[in-house]
Amino acid sequence: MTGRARVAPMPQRLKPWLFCAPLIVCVGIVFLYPLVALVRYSFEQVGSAYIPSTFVGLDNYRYVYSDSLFWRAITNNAKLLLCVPVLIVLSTIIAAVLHDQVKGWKAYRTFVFLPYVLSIPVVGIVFGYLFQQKGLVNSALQNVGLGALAQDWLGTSTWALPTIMAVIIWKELGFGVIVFLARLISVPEDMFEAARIDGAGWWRRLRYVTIPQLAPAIVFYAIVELITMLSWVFAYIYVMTAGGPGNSTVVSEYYIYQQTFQNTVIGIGAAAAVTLLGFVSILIIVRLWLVRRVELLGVEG
Amino acid sequence: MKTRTTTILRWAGLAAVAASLAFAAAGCGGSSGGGATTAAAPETQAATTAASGGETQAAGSGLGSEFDVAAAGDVTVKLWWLGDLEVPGIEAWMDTTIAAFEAKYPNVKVEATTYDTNTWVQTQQTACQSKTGPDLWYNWSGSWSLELSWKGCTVPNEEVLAPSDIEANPSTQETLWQGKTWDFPLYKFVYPIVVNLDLVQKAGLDPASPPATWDEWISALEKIKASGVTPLALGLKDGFGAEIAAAGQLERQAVNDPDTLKQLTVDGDIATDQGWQDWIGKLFDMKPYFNSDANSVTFAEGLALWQNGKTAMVFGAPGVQSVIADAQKSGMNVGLLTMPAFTTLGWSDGLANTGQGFQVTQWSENKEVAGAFMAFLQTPENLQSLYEATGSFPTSTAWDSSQVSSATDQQMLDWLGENNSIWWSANYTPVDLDPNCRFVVFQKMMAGEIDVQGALQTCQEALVKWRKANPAALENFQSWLTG
Amino acid sequence: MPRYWPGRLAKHLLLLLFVFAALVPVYFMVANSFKTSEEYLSNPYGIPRSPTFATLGSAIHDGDLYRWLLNSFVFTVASVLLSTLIGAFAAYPIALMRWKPGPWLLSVLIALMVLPPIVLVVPLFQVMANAGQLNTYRGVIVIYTGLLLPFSTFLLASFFRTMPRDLLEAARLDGAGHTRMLVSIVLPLSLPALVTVATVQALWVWNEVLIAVIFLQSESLRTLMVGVTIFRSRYHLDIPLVMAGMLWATIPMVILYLVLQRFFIRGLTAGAVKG
Repeated sequence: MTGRARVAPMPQRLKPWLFCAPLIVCVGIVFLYPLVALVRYSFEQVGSAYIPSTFVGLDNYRYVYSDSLFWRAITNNAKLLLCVPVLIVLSTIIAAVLHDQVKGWKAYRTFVFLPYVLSIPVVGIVFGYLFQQKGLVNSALQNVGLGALAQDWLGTSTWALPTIMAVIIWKELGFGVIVFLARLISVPEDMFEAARIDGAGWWRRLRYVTIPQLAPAIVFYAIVELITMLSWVFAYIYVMTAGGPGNSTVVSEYYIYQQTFQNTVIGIGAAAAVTLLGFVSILIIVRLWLVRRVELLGVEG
Repeated sequence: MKTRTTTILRWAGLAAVAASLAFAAAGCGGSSGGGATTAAAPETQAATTAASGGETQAAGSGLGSEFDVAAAGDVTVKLWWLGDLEVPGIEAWMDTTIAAFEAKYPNVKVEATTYDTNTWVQTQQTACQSKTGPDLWYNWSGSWSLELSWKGCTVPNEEVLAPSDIEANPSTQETLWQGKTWDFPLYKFVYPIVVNLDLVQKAGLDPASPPATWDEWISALEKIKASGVTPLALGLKDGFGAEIAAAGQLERQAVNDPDTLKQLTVDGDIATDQGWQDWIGKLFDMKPYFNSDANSVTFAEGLALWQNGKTAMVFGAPGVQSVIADAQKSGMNVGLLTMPAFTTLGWSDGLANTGQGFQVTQWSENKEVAGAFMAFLQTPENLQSLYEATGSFPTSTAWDSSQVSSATDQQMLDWLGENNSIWWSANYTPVDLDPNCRFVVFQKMMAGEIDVQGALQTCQEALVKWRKANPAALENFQSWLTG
Repeated sequence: MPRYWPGRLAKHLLLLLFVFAALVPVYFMVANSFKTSEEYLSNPYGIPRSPTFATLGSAIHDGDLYRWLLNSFVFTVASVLLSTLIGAFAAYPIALMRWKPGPWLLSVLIALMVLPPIVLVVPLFQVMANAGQLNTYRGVIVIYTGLLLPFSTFLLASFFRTMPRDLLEAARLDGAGHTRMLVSIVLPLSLPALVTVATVQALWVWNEVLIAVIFLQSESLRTLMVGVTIFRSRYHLDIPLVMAGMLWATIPMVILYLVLQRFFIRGLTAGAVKG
């Protein structure tokens, strides 16, 4: 370990900044002004290039917090978070199985990742068909005598969101599998071999070798997917239900879109966006604090 | 190495711009976008002030069809629109018409760019926030056009067209606000109910005597259903099928004239409004006669049910003429209906229609040429070729409708002739009522999750919420109501 | 290698299940690309009764497919290269140097990932319009790179962190500078991670529509995904045409993935040799 006390020469200390400079510039261009503007909008009744905006204080926030649709959207996002553990478990198992190099694993791997390559409109249209009330899923259920389980999957408030969740899991799974696989590949093979020689069964190897080795990748994937469920699911909702039936599948991102572009109240959309950002920032600060604690305990290198 | 340095410099330039903008944004909370042309003016007036202030010629002389395009110098007019997505076949017509315009005026180039419906509102809104965009864009009528006019982003027809051009186009009245009209329609959407006559006959009904009253309508639906055929196709998954059914057939019957709806928007109460109780009640009466999977199919998939002979009728939508033509080509016996009146108000009986057209933008530097181009699209020859290419009816009286040959077209024109002013009711209520009222009511009705009272309540809540969120738009609706 | 066969069977069954699920939409897309819209109405799921190339052809002719393809390539390659490179340089000090602002910078990046592009569009458009960068390759490449960077930096930092420390220490003691360590040790060892990040980013850029529509306003700059979305009408169903367009748009990405896969395999064999 590098001694923390060692005083680095000046250019050495600047080196991290130098390495990060392009990142800071590029991210600054794209995010800095939009972020400032977003916060400003959230306190304004926003006009246009020709109509001046007026300052309205906290009105936009008050509106958003008293809007039951916003809370439904947040609740739906919270439900979407349930996809994350499912994704992690499935990705771990599939990546582990593929890493065992079962016969034809290369072909399997290619196909498992395929959903991630498809664009969401294709996925939305296809699954929209499969899950119709008179679609393939229901007729398959009827054919095997499970007609009682048939639902109007995307057409009722009860089932629409769970159905969308299933499709999201289906599509995002491939990403988890390749991230985990990439990690497993960089782990020296002898670790697995040693466990095998020790006579550890598949599940034991999974529990005591694979999962610990995957830990950093799991943390990464969990964070990315948590963020996806919070603010990158717009396209799924837009294509599969457009927020319906009866607004039952509106998520925060869709709410922001509706307010900003359909209802053209940019300020209210911005207030919702800032709220979302604030909420996540708190989570991140908590995480940062936790990581520091862990680091102090000397667990993290 | 040299190119790399310049690229980095360009990036640095961008960063500087971003940073300075951020400072500017943080510094002055008041004006947005920078360099707004009008100082703080009341919302409702700002648009007109912005529109009439400036170098534009005095309205009325030498504009539109009278404008001397050849003398305008070298100009490129940019047009953004939705092309074939709205009316199949119109892009080819536009290409030909543009070529003719450019041949007539070699100093002018017209660049038409087709956009996607799904991102169209974002495209328009961002342009409007930054004064950057085309000279001319497509827009739907009523509040869709006016919302952008109220933001100051478009100019009224009166500033770019000759009075005779506007007069020849009665559908401009759909966007009459403060004595001016704000959208220049080219063709109209019409909304008949399209019928598969063979299926109707099989159910024992006589196509020659269509239902004339609500009771006859319901009993006809019942007979069709009894014959084993779904009477009406409906696709609600993407929402707007609800708007088509409401504004095209049901909700419109609660309307006497546009003021009914503007008044309702400004201070009405949907929950106690007689007209709304009527139409939503009637809608629920019709529930058994829609395809039961309406919630899980899109509008276009619902239409496909009808095209496949699985339902007897379907609500017509934009592009209905090509749907009719295709069905006839495949051997179907097609008839048309409008829903029997169940009220006695102005919009209760006849064919709903609304003109769709173009607006000249405020930032355009070629407003007059853009206006002249809009007028050129509406010469009698171009309108006739538009009809021939797409089957859509031009809005202008310059179109000679006597050349219509098909029986269904003639039927629709007859209906339009009787009462041409049944416009699109959803154009006179806030756009927000679509997702939060109409879509919700239809979808929850089909899912069995709401009753008539609940539906009325939902819509009223949506309206109250909209008023709270949109004080500026509310003021505009108010001024629209008074003229 | 004596292995317990029911276990192997279970593995195959599991994988086959996922393969089947993955293939359903692909089948739907391919099968319908070979139908006319008339046939589709009566036969949405089945194999084409009379396969036709007309739909795939009109998906090419109705637009400017080759031009769109080229544009998509330019945007994808440029922004993925930039963001991977910039991300790798930034991830290095964040993950491997004891640099105090590192965790904070990383947290800011994670927070930025939460902002959906939809909320950034209006102000970003104002920036680009003021800077005169609308309708340019450069402007949109910068936007894509900026939007991708939080993700790529985060992913690469997560992977760099798992780098064997002793290896880096040894290089350190040999007197290697940070730049050399990054270029000659960290990057080669992270090949699977780099491929992953490039693949995922390429897919995102390739399938992105919102930014491309709004910031590229001329037909000649259209990307493939934007191009094919204008086949999608709300009022009439032409699923075969949409699917044909989507098929054209998907093929390059499938090819890219198949090609990049080799790098995974290479990474694996390298690992196996070592073990």
